Amino acid sequence: MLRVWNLSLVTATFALTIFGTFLTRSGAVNSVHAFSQSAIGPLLLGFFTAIVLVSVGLIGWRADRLRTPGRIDSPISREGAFLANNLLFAAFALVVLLGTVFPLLAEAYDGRQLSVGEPYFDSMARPIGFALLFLMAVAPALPWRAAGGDVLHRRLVVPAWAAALAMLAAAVAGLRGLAPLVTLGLAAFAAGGIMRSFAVGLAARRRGTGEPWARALVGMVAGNSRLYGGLIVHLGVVLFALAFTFSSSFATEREAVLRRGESASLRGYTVTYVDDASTRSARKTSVSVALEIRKGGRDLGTYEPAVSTFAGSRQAIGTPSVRTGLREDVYLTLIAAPDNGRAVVGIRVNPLVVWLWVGAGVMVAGTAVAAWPGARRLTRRGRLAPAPPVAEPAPERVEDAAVEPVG
Amino acid sequence: MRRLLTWAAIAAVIAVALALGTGPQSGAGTDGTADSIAAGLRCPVCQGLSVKDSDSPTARDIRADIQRRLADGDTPGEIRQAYVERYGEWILLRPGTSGFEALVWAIPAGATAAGAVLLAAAFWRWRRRHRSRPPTEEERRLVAAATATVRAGNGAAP
Repeated sequence: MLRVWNLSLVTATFALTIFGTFLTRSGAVNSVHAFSQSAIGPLLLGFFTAIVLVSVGLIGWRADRLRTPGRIDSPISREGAFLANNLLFAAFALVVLLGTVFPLLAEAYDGRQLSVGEPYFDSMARPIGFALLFLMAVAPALPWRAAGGDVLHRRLVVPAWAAALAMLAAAVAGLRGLAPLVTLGLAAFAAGGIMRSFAVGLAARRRGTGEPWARALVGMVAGNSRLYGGLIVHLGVVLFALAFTFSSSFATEREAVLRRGESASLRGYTVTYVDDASTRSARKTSVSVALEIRKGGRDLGTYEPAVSTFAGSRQAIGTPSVRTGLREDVYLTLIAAPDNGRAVVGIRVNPLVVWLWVGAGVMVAGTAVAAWPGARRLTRRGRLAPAPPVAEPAPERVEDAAVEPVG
Repeated sequence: MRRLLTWAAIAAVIAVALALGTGPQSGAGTDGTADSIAAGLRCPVCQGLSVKDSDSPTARDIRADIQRRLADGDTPGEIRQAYVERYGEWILLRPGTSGFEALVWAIPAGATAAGAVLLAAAFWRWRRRHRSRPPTEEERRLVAAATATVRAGNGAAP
């Protein structure tokens, strides 16, 4: 199913990678990665053109052989969700491509110099990201082929309540802003659906086998590792989306001019200038300042942001120092080295940043589960055997059968 | 009917939460405004950084100037316009919505809408072309046989 789509997306991805390399290396777009004075630009452009012509030609020529006889019965189905997903990711790619080359297009059109920056990408990417999160929450609940209202209601009503109540609780507790609230709601919606899938599958398995919880969980995941691995990956995406939105929406920063022994506060953290040190070598001079971070009387350690100047360069290179916590990260930068005893220090508090990493870790773990050869594909001797036919119905089916009398 | 009421209740709770959470903000003040203006201006001496994100002396001067102008009662629009007059449209990181720049907004939105319409049309065509029919006796027999094999043969594969 969707083989023409998939192949087109794969080739487009590769072609755009080459195009991106061309844009930065050739210097067509201002970039620190540009090679000066080299013939790489025309070469890459030629390579890109060749890739596009050959792949578009091949796909166009052989598309009839790629088409599958399968069909899509209803837009409200797993297949429909995949198509909508493809459309949204393609739209996302188009935003990035157009935003990147638009200054070049504008200059070619009427010679004007324009910029397309972060505010543009933020306002275009946000609705796409919301729609993708929504699809990610709904798609696992959609059956293949066509969904009936009964099935959808039964599978989505609990996650939807989870979303609504999470949003309400957060708003009452003082969370402000459209993007964080919507992200939280969609995250609760998706997480609720994932929890429900696990709970329903586990209950069905325990009814069938009478195993204790832990063994039933392992057996269930091993029995359908691709489904449950995929759901774990979704959970990682949920964590990632929350961390991404909250860390960018609720970052606070300030600058402080400090003498030795003086302190500055931000969001409950107190940063005290303890000491400074400088090292000098033939190639660079570094100055660092020791800053002690305290919160609520608790000592969180001493951190040493620095600035270095390299021989032959006037520009100073900063080395920030980060205190990482489960709830918040504190970033310290030395903006200006101590001069007459006074240093300029930048303090920035970013919430939930570490959860970007946790989310990524959960995604990797989910992928590993999905890729792991299922337990039932291993014979007693531990060798890989050809996969036997699935011995028990998938959990969602079990539940359907249990609730809707067959016949 | 009960189902409809359930979903209406969920929608109502979400609406209340959004109304509560996006109401008039307290404490954003001039600092928030100055930050959002600085985030929309390109740092003239940097590569791809906004005035807000840059530590260069020029960006610091611009940030101080924005604060001063806000204190003098200038609106964010007037401040942006002043910078456009000094540096050209190039200074704005958010392209305008009129003239040629409108395309950078309209093309993705239009292409996505067109894609959605095309998908909907394709679904409609597929459904018309392939009306589903109830399974034949032969198909029912095959499915029953396959299901029986699976039920009986749990773990019986070679």
